[in-house]
Amino acid sequence: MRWWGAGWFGGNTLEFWAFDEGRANLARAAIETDAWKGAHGKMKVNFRIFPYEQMHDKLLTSLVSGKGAPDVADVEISRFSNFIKGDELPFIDLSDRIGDDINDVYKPAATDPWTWQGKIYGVGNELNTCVLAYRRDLMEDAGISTPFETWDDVVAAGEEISNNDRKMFALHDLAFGDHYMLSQSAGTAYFDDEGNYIGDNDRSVEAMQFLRDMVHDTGIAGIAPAVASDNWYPPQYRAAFRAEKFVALFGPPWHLSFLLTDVPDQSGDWTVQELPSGLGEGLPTANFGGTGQCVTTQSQNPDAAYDLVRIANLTTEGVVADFKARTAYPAYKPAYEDPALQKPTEYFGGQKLGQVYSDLAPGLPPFNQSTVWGQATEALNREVITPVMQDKKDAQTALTDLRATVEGMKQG
Amino acid sequence: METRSGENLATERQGGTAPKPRRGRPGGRGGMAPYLFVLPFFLIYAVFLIYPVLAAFRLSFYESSGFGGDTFAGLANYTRLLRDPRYLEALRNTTLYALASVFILSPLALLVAISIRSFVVPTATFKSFYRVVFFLPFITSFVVIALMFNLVFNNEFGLLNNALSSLGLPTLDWLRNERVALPAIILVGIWTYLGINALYFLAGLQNVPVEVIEAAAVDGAGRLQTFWRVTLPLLRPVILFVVVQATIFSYQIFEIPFLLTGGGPSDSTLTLAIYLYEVGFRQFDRGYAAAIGYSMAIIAIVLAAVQLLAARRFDR
Repeated sequence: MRWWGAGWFGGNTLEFWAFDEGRANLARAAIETDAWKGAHGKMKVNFRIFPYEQMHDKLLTSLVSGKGAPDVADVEISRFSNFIKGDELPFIDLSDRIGDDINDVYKPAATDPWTWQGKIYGVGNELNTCVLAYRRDLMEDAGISTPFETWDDVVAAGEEISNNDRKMFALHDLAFGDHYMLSQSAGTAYFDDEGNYIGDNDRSVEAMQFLRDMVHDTGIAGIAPAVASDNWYPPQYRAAFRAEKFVALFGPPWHLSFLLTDVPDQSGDWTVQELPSGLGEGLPTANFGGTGQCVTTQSQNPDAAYDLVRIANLTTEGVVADFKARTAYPAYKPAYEDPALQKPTEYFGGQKLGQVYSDLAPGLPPFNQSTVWGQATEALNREVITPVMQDKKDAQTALTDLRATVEGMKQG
Repeated sequence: METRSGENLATERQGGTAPKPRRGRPGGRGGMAPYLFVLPFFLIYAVFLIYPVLAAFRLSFYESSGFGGDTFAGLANYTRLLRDPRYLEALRNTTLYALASVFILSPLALLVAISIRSFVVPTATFKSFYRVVFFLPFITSFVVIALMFNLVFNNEFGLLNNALSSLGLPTLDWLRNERVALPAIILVGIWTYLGINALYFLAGLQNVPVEVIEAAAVDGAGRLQTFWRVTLPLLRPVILFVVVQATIFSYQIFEIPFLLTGGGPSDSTLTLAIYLYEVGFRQFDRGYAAAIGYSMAIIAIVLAAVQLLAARRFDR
């Protein structure tokens, strides 16, 4: 029996760690299903929710020490790289257990981020298909034709819409997400399928330059409000949308969801579409974000632990429950047959977002993991995003210079 | 068997033969009992402090950055410090913060203490009020301080920028501009620690004998002369304490920059403690993180020793 964590409560208990109440509810819903009760009715599941940083830090510590880790843990996409350093991985290879179910998921969202050297160590349920969203009413009032075919059309609309008090986009100068999405749409990534840095190629530079130009040349974008604790969409950012300082954005469903909760007054005025063409290959979507459930090697009940992961992520019942709870569009394909996912969304003018996302999902670019993914993206923020978006360095130089930094990481 | 009467006992106590110390029984006075009482503290201290400190020291000589075995690396983690631009940037930022603590915060705190003590604050009630006001920031949670200063420094509706624009001065994005982010952090640090340091000086000022001040006045010394030639030299132990403490704590600064800027933008507010955390948990390079930790300890010890030696030489 182990001290705390997996197995501490004996063979009839699972320990589940999460950093988000909503995501913990995904697993809570799974243990309420008949499938779970039928197979593991007597099994108790302890849920522990910690703050994001603390949970990942505790998980690392307990896995390194060999004691105190949970059976199942949520691992956020940017933190997974920490767990694949070294010769031994602290998670169970789920590839065989997943088996043919792999054909029922959109891999770039469901398994790629938690896959290393061909083995799957985690499963995520969120389909992070990126789209362009904008205020349709404002575009109509300005006589702008939508949907947008190309980014040039978007820039032209932005020039029409933007003024001193209002900009088309809020672009981030402390977080790499905008560039990450647009570089994928341009047909590139930060790492190749062997984990080597390729972020300084022409398409990546083009995407970075385009972002910079929207702020400093065409003036259709402002810098997104951010704080240290949340450099993506803190309350100030949301408030700026509420105040109509920004009227368009591009991002995955989890990002768009703040509009429904924090900007309710604009319900019915927004619309979504695929990402426009014009940057590199001009792919219609990109993949951004995600959290996977991983089973630790310390688990005393790996079969039950995997069953929990499977029911939560690889069954219609599991993922639809999460969709109903927090509008998490699933990466599990069969779920899109469910009526709940075919309903029109009033906020987006009656669009069927489930249909939009599932139509785009097959075009998701693959995700290439690296042992330095987390470190490299933090370096990207420091050495590329901030200086380029603050107009202190040019995109080509910044992305080229980053190569030395990333390669230095790989050498230790 | 010889018995001692009360009379004999009294004689002994009145200056006769000194009583022999009683031999305690095990478990009685002078036996094992005191050790048993303090044992829990020492056990906890050993498990939670001494062992981690020693384990970290050992770890700093190993390549330990993943799952699997550690490999002995000798001094590689320590030599890597000198080649790591991020470490050097963190060292630079932390040193600037420490310099500000010593050369800006400490004199300011002394000034505040003198103001409270002397003619600036007129009545005892006001003096108490100011003591409380200046001490409050020190007992305020760092999270609350960060939240508050996030609002103060906010680019669009922050107190500071509103004040600047009302004076017709240009505004700044305080926490996102590489040039001013560190000064902003230093400003918050000064605000936080000014009160406690002022209280140290106040305690020191209260220990300056009134007779000495009066004697100086009788000798014709003015206020300023009295301060420079009498009060300040007598405050030297307190000054030394404040400066050494400010130096040691400055090299451990973590919460304020971590919560306000996360070490950014582009490492302009990265401190040694934030870098240690990043290397240890975000980069998962435990051996190197341990070396960073020990480098912080060595820097703080060396600087404190230099200050103490300098003070001792000055005293001679």
